[in-house]
Amino acid sequence: MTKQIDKNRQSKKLGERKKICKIDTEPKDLKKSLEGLTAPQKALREASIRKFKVNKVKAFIAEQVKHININRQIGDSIRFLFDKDGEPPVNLPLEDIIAERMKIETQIRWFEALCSELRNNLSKVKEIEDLALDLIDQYQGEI
Amino acid sequence: MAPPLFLLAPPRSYTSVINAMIGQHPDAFGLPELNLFNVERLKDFWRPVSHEIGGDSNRRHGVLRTVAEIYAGEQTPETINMALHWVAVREDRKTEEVFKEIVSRIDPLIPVEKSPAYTISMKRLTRIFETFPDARFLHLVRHPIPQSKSIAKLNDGIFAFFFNAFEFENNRLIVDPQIIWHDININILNFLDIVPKDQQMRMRGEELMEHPQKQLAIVCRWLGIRDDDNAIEEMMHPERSPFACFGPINALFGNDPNFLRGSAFRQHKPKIPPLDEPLPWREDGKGLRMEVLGLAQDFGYK
Repeated sequence: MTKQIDKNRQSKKLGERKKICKIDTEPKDLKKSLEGLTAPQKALREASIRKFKVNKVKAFIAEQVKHININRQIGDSIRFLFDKDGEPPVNLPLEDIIAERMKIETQIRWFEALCSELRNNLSKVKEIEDLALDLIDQYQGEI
Repeated sequence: MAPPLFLLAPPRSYTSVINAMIGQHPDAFGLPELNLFNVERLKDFWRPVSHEIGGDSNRRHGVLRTVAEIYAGEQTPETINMALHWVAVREDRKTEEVFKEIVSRIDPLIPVEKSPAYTISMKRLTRIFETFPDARFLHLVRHPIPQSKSIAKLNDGIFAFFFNAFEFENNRLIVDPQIIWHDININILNFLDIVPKDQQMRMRGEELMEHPQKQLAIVCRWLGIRDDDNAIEEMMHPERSPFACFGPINALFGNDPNFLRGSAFRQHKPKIPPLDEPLPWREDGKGLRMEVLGLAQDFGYK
């Protein structure tokens, strides 16, 4: 019975409905087949991809600049908790203090997570560096 | 082992929320986007996808989060590190073996998965079927205009560039996401020709958004699992899935960021535009291509 089912399945064929994309998108390897395009079309495609990447980099930089500003703002935002003598104002609402405490705790957790990720990356890079140096030593020894 | 259910659809076709909803059924397990059938061996996940557009390390997050959740019972930076070790010792294994190993851990629950990247390649789709000849396939469709608009918006329209969804006209290049909608649906239809009829189902995403209880019950009956009120009520809460939120800092994604930001289901009637209206992303005022129009009508859109 199972063999019969398998046989039936094998006899079925993949459909052959036509696609409309000019470029073969079946990723046989990492490169796209651009045979269907003329030279000007290839150039247009390349320019369009380049423009897309430039826009992405611009957006990334804008985001980073925003983060830098935020880091400056953190200092400013907690200034209201202290008067000119470094003491908290007498009438500061408890809700504001709690909200500020929670915000700072969240920021600390975020920075700790980032540090942990950077430490992990560092240990991996160090391993690769050690391996590379070992290989160089070995290679120089053979010479 | 329960045969898995794969949701097949172009990106931005309600797959994230519907995958999580079906996965919340007491007899099912909703997985994040594993992307395992995109590559031959596990180590290939660490190779670049595209030299032109740039790599996408986020595609590994689904596997890492799944391993952390299934083996350690939680997703934390530490359990993700454990998952990285789990992957490292299996780096030479074929990805279908890895998929089988993962789903054997959740047996007898039905694994539910959707990785939109499977649908761009017939090779990937046939590998799924060869690995799981009893797998079920739910073909989700969405109206081409809102789907294409959504593609154009997501991550600056990166998917259109990955897919080369370009039209050339009068020495101009127009990025046109309707090409993605058409060709991916064509891929799915061509693939489903080899799948027995009782193992496949097509559903319009908009109908599930509007009448979730009714449509989910239809899916349950097709899968042969209970469709009582309690089961459907569970399915109405995709946000309860352990993968319906951002993951730890070292594996944040595994799904569409928009879904991870807010995964609660909101029943609504999606606005369905007429098929013959000018497309908002085309400055030349053109409408849908004939091929797209025909396929949309085949799917029941008017």
